[in-house]
Amino acid sequence: MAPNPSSEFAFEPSPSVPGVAATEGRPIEAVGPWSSARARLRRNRTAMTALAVFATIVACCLAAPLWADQVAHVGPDENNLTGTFERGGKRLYVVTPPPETKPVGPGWSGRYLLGADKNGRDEMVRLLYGGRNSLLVGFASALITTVVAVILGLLAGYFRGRTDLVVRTTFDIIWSFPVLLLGISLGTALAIGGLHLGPIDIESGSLWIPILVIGVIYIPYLGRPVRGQVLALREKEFVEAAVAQGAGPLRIMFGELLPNLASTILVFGTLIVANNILTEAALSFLGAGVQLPTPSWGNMIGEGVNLLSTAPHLTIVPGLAITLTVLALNVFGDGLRDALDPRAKVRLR
Amino acid sequence: MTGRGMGARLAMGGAVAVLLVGTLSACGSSSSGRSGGAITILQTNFPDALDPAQAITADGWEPLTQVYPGLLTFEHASGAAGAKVAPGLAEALPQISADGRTYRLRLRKNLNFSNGAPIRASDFKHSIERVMATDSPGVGLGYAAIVGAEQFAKTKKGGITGIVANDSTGEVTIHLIQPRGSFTYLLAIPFAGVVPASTPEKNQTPHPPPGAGRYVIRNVDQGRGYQLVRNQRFSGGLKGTAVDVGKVNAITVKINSNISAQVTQIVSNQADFMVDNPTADRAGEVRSKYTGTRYREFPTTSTYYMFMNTEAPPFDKLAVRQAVNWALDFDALNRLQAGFLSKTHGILPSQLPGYEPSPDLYAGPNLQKARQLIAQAGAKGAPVTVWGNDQDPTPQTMAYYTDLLNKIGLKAKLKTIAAADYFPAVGDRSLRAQTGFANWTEDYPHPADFIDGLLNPDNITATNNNNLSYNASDAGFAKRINAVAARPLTAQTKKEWAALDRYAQQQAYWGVYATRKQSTFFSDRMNFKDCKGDDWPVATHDWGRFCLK
Repeated sequence: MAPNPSSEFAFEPSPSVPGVAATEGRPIEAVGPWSSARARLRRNRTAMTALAVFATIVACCLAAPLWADQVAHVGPDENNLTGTFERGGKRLYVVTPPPETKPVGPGWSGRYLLGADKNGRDEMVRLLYGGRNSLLVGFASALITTVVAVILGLLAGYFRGRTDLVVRTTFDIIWSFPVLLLGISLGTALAIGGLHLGPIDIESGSLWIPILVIGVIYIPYLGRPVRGQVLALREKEFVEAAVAQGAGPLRIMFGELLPNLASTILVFGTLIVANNILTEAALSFLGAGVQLPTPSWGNMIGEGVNLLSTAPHLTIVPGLAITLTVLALNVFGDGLRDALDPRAKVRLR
Repeated sequence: MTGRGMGARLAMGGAVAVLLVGTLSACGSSSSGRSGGAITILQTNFPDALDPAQAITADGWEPLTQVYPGLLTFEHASGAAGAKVAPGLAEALPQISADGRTYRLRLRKNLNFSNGAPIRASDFKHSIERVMATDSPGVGLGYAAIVGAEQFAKTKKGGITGIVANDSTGEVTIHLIQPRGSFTYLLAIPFAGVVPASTPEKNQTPHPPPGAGRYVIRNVDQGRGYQLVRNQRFSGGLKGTAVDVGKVNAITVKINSNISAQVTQIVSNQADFMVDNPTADRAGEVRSKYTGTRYREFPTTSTYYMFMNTEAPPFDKLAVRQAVNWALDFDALNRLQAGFLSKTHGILPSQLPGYEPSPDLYAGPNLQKARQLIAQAGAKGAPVTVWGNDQDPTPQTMAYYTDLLNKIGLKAKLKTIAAADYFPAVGDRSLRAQTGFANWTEDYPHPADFIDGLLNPDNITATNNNNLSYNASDAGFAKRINAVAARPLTAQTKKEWAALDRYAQQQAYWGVYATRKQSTFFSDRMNFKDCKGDDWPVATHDWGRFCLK
C-alpha cells in the first residue's frame, strides 16, 4: 500500500520537481514519492559522488581474488618472511633480517604495491580481502539490526501494554551499556568458545561472531525510533480504516505501518552500515572482532600499530580505507535522507 | 649460538682487565661500581604479586629476589656462576641424608627481619606453609614432595609435618616423601623466601611483609608502581654473604604499559632501566645507537616451542611431529620477533646444567621433506586447530605457524584466545588442544625444571597441565626421568639429562625453535660497564648489582 499522505513522514509534491508542476490545459502528471525522491537524490551531486566512491570501494574489494591471483600472485594469509622480490630492477627483502626486521614499504610493483606487513604478507591483497570482511560484517550486522529492530519496534508500538514494556525494557538494558564495552565483552567471551546456543553453533574465529555481536548491540538505536513512530502512526485514520475493513494485526503492521517507516529505515540503514563498519574496526583493533589471521581493516590497524614509526603504511592504508568508506556512506546517507524526507532531521545519535 | 659468541668476546675483554687490575674475580662486576644514589626502573606490567609465596613471573621475581632471601639463595653473578646455590639465611648448604630424603640446615646467628624482629626456624616453616595454603603457583614446582605438604594443602590444618623447626637451636629438618635431586634449588627460589610466622596466609601484595634482604618494598601503589629502599636493619649475620648485595640506595619502579614510550624515557634519561625488550619498531634504532655503551642482548634460560599433543591426531603420529620440526624456519620466526631469538633445537637451554651440544635432527627448513612425511603419515588435509594467545608477538608467530602447517599439507586454522586464559585452556586435557605456542623460562637452574616438569608422562594432570605433549603412553620415558630426577646433579646425571633431551628430540615431542634473548638498556646515568647485573639465571636482571656512574 502506498504511504499515507496524512502521515507526518509523507512526501509532498514539490513544484521544483520536473513533471510535478501543474501544466495548463494538460492533466497533472502524478509522480509518486519514490520517483520524486529518486530525482532529488540524482540532483544531489555530493551524495552521488559519495555513492560512486562507495561503489568503487565495494567493487575493488569484490575483485580481491582477481588481484591476488593475477597481480600479486599470493593469497591474503601467505607469509613470506625470508623471501625477496624485485622492484625497479632491485631485489628487495620482504622483511629485512635482524637487526632491523622492517617490512618493505609501498612502491611501484605488482607484488607488494602497498608494502608488506610484519609477516611478509602482501598489504594490498590483505587490504582488499580485509575490505570484503569489514564490509560483510558492516552490512550483515546492519541487516540483523534493522530486521530485529523493526520487528520489535512494530510489535512494541502496535501492541503497547506488556509487549511494549518487555521490548522497551530490553532496549533500555542494552542501551544502558556503553556500546563498545558491551561489544568487547561479548566479542571476547565468544572469541574463546564460540557460540553454541540450541541450533546455533558458531565456532570461535567465525565472522558470524562479530556480525552477531555488532548486530545485537545496535538494535535499540533503531528499535526505539521505530517504536516511537509506530506509536504515532497507529492512531492515524488509515490504520482505523484498515481495522474497520477487518485487517488483522500482522497485516496492519507489515501492510500499513511498515511502508510508512520505509524512508526512516532506509536512511538509518545507511548510517548503521557506516557505524557498524567503524564498530567492527574498533572491536577488531582491540582483538574482540574479526580474529587473525583473517584480515579486516580494524585488525590490520591493530597489527600495524607496533610498527608505527618504521612502517606507518600498515596503519595509514587501512585507516584511509575505513575513513573513505564511512565518509562515503555517511554523505550518501545524508543525501538519501534529504531526498526521502527533506523536512525530517534523523540522526543516528 | 649468538649467546656463546657474545660470551667469548666478553671473556677476552675480561682477561685483559684481569691482567691489568689483577684483582677481579669471575663475578667482579658485582664488586665494582659505586654504591648509593637512586634509580628509576620501568616495568610494563605490575608484578603478578609482591609476595614471595605468590609471584611466579620475572616481573615479580626481579624485585622479590632482592627482598626475601631463603635459607638458601643464588650467587649474585651473571651466567653459570649465578646458577650456583649458596647459603642464605642458613649458615651452610644442607646436609642431605644418604637416602636423599632428609635435609638438615641451621640458621645463622644474629638474623632479623627488616622490622627488627628476630628470624626463627619456625618462620621458614610458616613461609613454606603459606605457599601450600594459598594455592600458590609454587605448589606445582615440587614442594609437595615434603612429607605432609600435600595433606596440608588440602586441609590447611596441622602444618606441614615433614618440616621440623627448632627455634631454640635454629635447626630446620625437612623430610621428603622420595628423594628429589633438585630440592636444594627449591629452597633458594623466592617461593622459599622467609617471612615472619605472623604473616597472614593470603596475598600480601598491598602491604608486603618484612624480609631479610638488602631491600625493603615500600609505597606500593598497585598497578602504578612501588619502591625498593635499603633495609636499614639488615642483619649483621648476613654481612658479606651472598645475600649482601645492593648498591643503589633506592629503586623507584614505575609501570608503563607503552614500551615504545619506555624507550623514549630511557633514551632521554628520564628513567634508568627498562625490564622489557624494546618494541620491534624501536629495536633497530636502539641497537644501532647504543649497543656496547648502554645496550646489550643476552640469551635467557628459556625454550620457545610449538607443542604437539600426542593424544590428538594427527600429532599422535611421529612422522607428523617430525614434519613440523623439519618445516619450522628459525630465520622467519626471528624476523617476526624483531631479532630477539637465539637458535636452538633441544629442550634444555644452553645455559642450563645438563645441556650438551648435539646435532640438529631436523636441520630445516625443508618443506619438501615435511610434505613427504605428512603424506607418508596419511595426514594430508588433516584438520588442525592451532592455539595462540593475543599477547604480541604471539598472534603474528601463530599466523606464520598456521600458514606453515597449511603449506606442508595439513588443514590448519588459528584459534586466538586471551593471554590470561591461554595456558589454563591448553593445559586442560579435556580440550585436547592439538598444537600451539608454548614457552618456558626456568624457575631454577636445573634440567628437571624443563624435562621433569614439562615432559614427564607421570606429571600429566587433568587441568593446569604443563606437559602439553600429553605423552602418557611413553611409560619408559617416565621411568628414566623419575630415576634421574631422584638423584643430585652430578657429571653422571647431567649426561643422563642430556640423553633424555636427545630422546625427546627424536620423539619430536616439541617443535623447538629458539631461546629468547633479553635486553639490558640503561640510561646515560648508569654504569653500563661494571654494573649490568644481567644474565642472572634466577631472575634475568639482578637489580641489586645495578649502580650509577
